[in-house]
Amino acid sequence: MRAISIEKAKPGMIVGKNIYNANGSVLLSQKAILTERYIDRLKSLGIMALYITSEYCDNLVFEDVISEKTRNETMAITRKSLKALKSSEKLHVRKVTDIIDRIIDEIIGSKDLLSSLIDIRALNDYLFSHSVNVAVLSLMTGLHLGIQQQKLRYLGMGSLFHDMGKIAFDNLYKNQDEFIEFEEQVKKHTEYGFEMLRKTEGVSLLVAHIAFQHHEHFDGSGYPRGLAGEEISLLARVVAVASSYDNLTSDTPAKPRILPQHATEYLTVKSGTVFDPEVVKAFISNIALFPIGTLVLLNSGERGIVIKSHKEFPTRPLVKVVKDHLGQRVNPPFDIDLMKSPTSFLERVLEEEEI
Amino acid sequence: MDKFEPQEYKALYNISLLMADHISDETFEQVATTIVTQMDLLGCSIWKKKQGFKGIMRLGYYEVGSDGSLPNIDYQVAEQVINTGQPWSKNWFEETGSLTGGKGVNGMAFPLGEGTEPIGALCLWFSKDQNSEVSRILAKELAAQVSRGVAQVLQVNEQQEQPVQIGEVQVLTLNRSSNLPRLEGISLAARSVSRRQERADFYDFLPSDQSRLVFILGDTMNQGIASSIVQFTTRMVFRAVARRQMGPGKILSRINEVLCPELGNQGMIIGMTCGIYNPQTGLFHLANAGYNDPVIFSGRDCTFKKPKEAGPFLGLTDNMAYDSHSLKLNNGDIVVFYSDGLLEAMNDSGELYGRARLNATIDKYRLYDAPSLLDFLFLDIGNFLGGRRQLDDITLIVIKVG
Repeated sequence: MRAISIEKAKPGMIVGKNIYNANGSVLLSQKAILTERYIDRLKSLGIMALYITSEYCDNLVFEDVISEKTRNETMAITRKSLKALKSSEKLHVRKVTDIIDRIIDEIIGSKDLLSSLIDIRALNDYLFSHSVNVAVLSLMTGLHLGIQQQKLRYLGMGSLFHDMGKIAFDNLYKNQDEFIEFEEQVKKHTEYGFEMLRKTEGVSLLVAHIAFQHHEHFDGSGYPRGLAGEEISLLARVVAVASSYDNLTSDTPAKPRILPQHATEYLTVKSGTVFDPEVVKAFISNIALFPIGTLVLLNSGERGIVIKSHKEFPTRPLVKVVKDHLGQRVNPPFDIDLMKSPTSFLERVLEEEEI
Repeated sequence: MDKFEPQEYKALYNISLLMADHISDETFEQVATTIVTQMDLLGCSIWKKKQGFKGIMRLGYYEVGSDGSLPNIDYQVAEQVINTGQPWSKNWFEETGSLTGGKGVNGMAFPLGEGTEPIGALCLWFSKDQNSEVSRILAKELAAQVSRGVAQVLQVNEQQEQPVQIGEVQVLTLNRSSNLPRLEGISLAARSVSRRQERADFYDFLPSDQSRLVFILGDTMNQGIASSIVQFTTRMVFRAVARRQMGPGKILSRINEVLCPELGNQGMIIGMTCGIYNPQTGLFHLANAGYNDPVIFSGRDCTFKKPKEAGPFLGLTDNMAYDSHSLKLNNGDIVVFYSDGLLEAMNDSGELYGRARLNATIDKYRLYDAPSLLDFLFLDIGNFLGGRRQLDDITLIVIKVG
């Protein structure tokens, strides 16, 4: 199974993972065979990418750091909460903290797992799925940094609502040209979000400040206030990194997603200027740089598929060998664990047609 | 001779027939199938050792249904048997519990070949209740038969497969291996890859010094038997002359003094650098005899420092004095030593990998420890080269403080 952009989808391909909308309903289920009609429908719903099963890795299990159920419920709660906040209705703070606690528990329970999921989302749902992803990534980072329970909850809530100021702009992600025109205005979302959150009953000011500060830069070059270093709250510094990463690795009409490896390169290069280096360090140690399904060439000449990543050894995943060094198919395939095999290393990442 | 069951005689006979015939790609698949079906086993595999390079390759495999975990165990066992040259057997293999409905499997594996160096392995997998005593004797007979076939394949390969093997890389020393010194406060990784039997690059860490990192990295400028001997000799001279109070310049001068006459006779020169890092003081001392300048990256301000200019090659004149140059390393600082093969790696568009790309890659992965950074550097070279294989040796030593 691997993720492809909707543009590369062809009739006859088999869906590898359920495709959901923001309400958690299944749009197309796993094992469904794509048809011309399905593909058109997915496009019209704004689905930018999907998982398909692949010849070499049909049995791969994709474990996420949180369960599909929790992810879908968080999406639904986020959607409801943002609606409530927009229309000045009462926010069910308890529901939000409960789901955040569950995410934290699941992250702790998944110990060794790295974030490896390429999120499949409909464009209309972008804000919600982005919020959920940023929450999961921020909490993983927060746990790694040793942030304590209560602050961790604020981090969870703040990351879920960090972009809520954007609900003031309708059709934000619909059209790329408008988006550019909007850009200066959109910067105001930090202030809008802050104002909305700080007036909401039961929401800590720390949470509101995450929305306010998540576009500040470590060197003071960010907005809205140009805060620098420790002046920016640690929680906002975490969300800044998680939010950038998620934007980079997601498809939008403005730009296709980039690979996790390249997104982490970007974060590293910008650490010390845009981002807090300590936060980036903690963040990247929770990211699978070679997501499950990545096709690789080993130095032995063997070709294979990444089927698992190890937390402490980002460059040494478990690889299922499917072709030997002479290019012959290895059937049945066997696994080489680079973590345990010091003489082996990844020589190159392969494209589908190269395997 | 031990007594075999009739079907076991038959299996042995059939295998010897197969091995006596012309050996083709399918032969070993047939052997595995024959062994499994006629002896009522669960699975069988035949492996060969790749020549001249690390790694093993499966020639044949057959199994009767499992949850898919057998090929993995099979690979691990074959690798172990080929590396150690020792037969292996295990009853009640726990990891295979899900095979055969929770009963587990028994496994047995033998190195192939008549000499001390195994040329391959034969793995047999059977259910727990099978009489393993008789099977063991039979298995040895089978291994002897299969050995002949594998030996024949290796001979043919030696003549025919040589150009293909350029696809493989042999790895001299490894990151995270126990060969590298372990020092508090730094992470260290080194690797040298070559597509030839003989290489020009070499390096060595002084094993006797537990409190400091003392190493050399050199290039004999050409390959071949003579340069292999020179490399070995140089490493031994380094180990012999290096003393506690010596700086790297003095070490290079001493090595040159000892080697110079002989190098002159051979018409050889050596480019070499020597480094000493003391974690207590944080001071890094460097001396260079015609080798590439290392990359010195400051983690604090993300800048690259320029080291002092290199002195002349070793082997030119015997009373050469090399200067030592010291710099202070702080947390997050990275020093990378590299061979010419890295800078000169060329892609299909004729571009060279070069120093600028090396610097940029170090910057991009500066937050990782040395072993990961080393892996990323090799991966970046691989991605840069694309389908093209680099032919020169590439050697890297990565040191990261903190």
